[in-house]
Amino acid sequence: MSDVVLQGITHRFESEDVLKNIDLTIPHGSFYTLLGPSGCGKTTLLRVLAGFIVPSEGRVFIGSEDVTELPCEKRNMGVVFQNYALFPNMTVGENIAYGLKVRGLSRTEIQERCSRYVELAGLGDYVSRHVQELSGGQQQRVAVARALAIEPQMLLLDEPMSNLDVALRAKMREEIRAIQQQTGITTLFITHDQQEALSISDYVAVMREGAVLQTGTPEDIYNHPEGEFVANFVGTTNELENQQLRPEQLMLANADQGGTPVRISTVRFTGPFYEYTAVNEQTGEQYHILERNRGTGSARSVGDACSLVPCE
Amino acid sequence: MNSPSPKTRANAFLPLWYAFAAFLCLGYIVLPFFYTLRSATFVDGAFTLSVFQEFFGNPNHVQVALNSLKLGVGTVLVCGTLGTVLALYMTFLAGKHKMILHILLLSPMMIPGVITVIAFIQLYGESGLVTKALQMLLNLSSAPFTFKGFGAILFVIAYTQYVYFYLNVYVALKYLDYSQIEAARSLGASWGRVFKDVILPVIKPALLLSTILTFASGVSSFSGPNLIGGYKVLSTQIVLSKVNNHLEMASVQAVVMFAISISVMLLVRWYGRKTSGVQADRVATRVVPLRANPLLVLGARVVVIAQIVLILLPIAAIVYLSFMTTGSIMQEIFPHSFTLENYQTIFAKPRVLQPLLNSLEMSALAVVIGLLITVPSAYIIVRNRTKLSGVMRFLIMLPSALPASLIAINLINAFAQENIFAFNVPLIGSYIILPIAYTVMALPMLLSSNEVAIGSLHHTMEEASKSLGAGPLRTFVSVVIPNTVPGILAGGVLMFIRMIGEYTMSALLYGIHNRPISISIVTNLQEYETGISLAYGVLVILVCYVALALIFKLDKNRFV
Repeated sequence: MSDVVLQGITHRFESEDVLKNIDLTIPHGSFYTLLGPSGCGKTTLLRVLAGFIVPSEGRVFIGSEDVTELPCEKRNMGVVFQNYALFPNMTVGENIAYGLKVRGLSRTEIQERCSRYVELAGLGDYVSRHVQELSGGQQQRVAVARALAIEPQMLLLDEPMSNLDVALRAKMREEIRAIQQQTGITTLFITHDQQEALSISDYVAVMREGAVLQTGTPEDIYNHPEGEFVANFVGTTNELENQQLRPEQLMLANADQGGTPVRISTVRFTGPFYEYTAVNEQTGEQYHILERNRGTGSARSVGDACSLVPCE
Repeated sequence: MNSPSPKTRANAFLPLWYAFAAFLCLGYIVLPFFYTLRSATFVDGAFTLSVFQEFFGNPNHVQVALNSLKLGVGTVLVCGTLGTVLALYMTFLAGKHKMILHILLLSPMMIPGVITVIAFIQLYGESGLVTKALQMLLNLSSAPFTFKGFGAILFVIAYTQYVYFYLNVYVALKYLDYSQIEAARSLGASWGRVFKDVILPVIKPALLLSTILTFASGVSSFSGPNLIGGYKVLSTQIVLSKVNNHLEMASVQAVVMFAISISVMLLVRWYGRKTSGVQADRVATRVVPLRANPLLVLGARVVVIAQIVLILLPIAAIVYLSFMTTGSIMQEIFPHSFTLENYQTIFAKPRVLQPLLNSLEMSALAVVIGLLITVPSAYIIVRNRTKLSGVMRFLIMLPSALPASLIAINLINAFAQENIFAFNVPLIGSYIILPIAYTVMALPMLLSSNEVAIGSLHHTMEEASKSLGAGPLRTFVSVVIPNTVPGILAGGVLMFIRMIGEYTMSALLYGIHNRPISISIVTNLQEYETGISLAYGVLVILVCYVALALIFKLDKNRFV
């Protein structure tokens, strides 16, 4: 199995450490996400993997091969850029065929492979279009197809959704996940959107200021966050009885039922849920509570005195 | 694996390029200016301000400087009004034929100034077509006006230089938020208020930039004052001083001209910074045809139609007259003796054809040298924003602040004798001095046009190519070149058009080996070979329009 291993990666730029001693193992065939706020170094780490940057320290292995010094054009990595970086002087088909032509494949081979990935990305009607004529979502499909067509060792996606609107984002997320599962390709995905990260990934690494804070499955990260930053970055947290609890892990009970006494300060209806904020009037501590909409209206109103208890 | 990464290879090239650029910029732009300062302040090897005293002590000289200043201010006022009105009309009111109108309005920029001036003289001069037509129509015994002096010169300059205002304001208006206009109107603002409160803040940077550009060209304009006459300005006096072998005086006059244009430039910049306008969202918004006062619309339409007529008349006149015998042009009120003789003479006699060939060759040479310097420099500036690349940019952009006369005088002062930067070969009087002067003048425009072309190629595109397996050479050939060369070439062709009819520097620097077409156009006119002169003009216009078609083919979005 050719897992991808990053060993002690440190990168300095103008005497500032943008990556700090990062160790990471990306299991073969997995969908791995780097999650973090902008400027945390996640794109730099992707560029190290792609071979655009040689890190100041540390090694990059694919399987047992040390590729740290291997230039990007010899590394066989499929990269999808944030702005897609499609070649405006070429058609959709020419963009997808570019990497194959570079590899000197025969014409029939190029055609055969090209049409396979055009099909996979659902671009059948657009092959001879120029890329400027495409919508954002279509451009992204071309970028993915172009990266996959070279049948890379790994697919690297650098915030590919950030230029799409919300509705399209969810759709493209599903498509990318489906393509990944179909092809079984090891994938590194970069995002600052925690929901995106949790819903699409096999594994997530949370990054901050050039360091990896926690790695694990989405459930691990969400349910057992290590430290305040991770806990708050992947969702809202409440501290109750020395436990970190998510809003949906709390419930509001009647005031006489024990637990922590609170008063409701806001009620927000979002459709499937009610979002409450409540304040403990003695300590001033604020809590966020999420309750399912049972179709019978809100059980609590602003000003109600309740007691706060963890769900069973 | 010890192959060096592309970054280290680029770094080895960088210091070499900086040294090369520094050598050229110091040798041909910066130091020549100091040679001029020395020429103005050293007489017989000793420092003296006597030449400056001679200049400022003589009311005639001072009057000439004031005349230049007046011409600069006049140019800004006339061009600013005209260009802004046209831009507003084209943005808010023009419907049908917008594209063709836009191209027509830009076209004066594409014809060398010296040809425009000559065409104007043929139309409005003492025996011009329009003058004579009016005289007959009104039954007058003499010409209804004299086409001489300040008014006539300003008229010609306004016709050519309004394009700066027009184009800059037109582009700025694309970033106007239309809903702001609707909001102001719905709050009850009059159109005057809308202009002052909503439109003006958005176009202000464009107005200030155009003010700097048109003022500089007004102060330093040469072909108008020289050919129309009746109004002495610094640029004409510089040539006179040089011809009279009083190079110290020419240097002083050039320095005074520079002082006027640079201080106005700094003043406008300072004003711009003090009252910084709004930063418009750099997102083009939807264009909604506006309902405005019909009287306003009518007024604007009249201005546009008058301008289009003014633009087309000189070209029509010069083409028409180039097919007339010189005798017919001189003697008949409305010449009508058709002939191909003018063109036949040009193409039959190598001596007559030579100036045209010279200009084609020298402009092409200047553009090629200019591109060789500015393409790598632009690439470095775009990809490598450091202090050093900033200094290089500043040096290459310097000539944009120098009047053409000053560039020429600088080169004369620096290269009339042996100079280490020319490897101790005196350049004045040689063929190469004009291509050098053209190159110096073209550098700033070429650099900024290359920056745009190269800047549009995002660095991820090169990375994408490499990640797909292409080496540096393949990436350069199949991604970098196809996506930048059209823009680079379009900029080069535009500068070629600008240089082919260059007159100001040519008049100061030409010699027997490199007589350019602009000089021949003027001397033929002065020697009463009017037909030849006009046929030359038509050929140059033809070259310019072919080149222009090429630009549109290369880079469709350049002017829109």
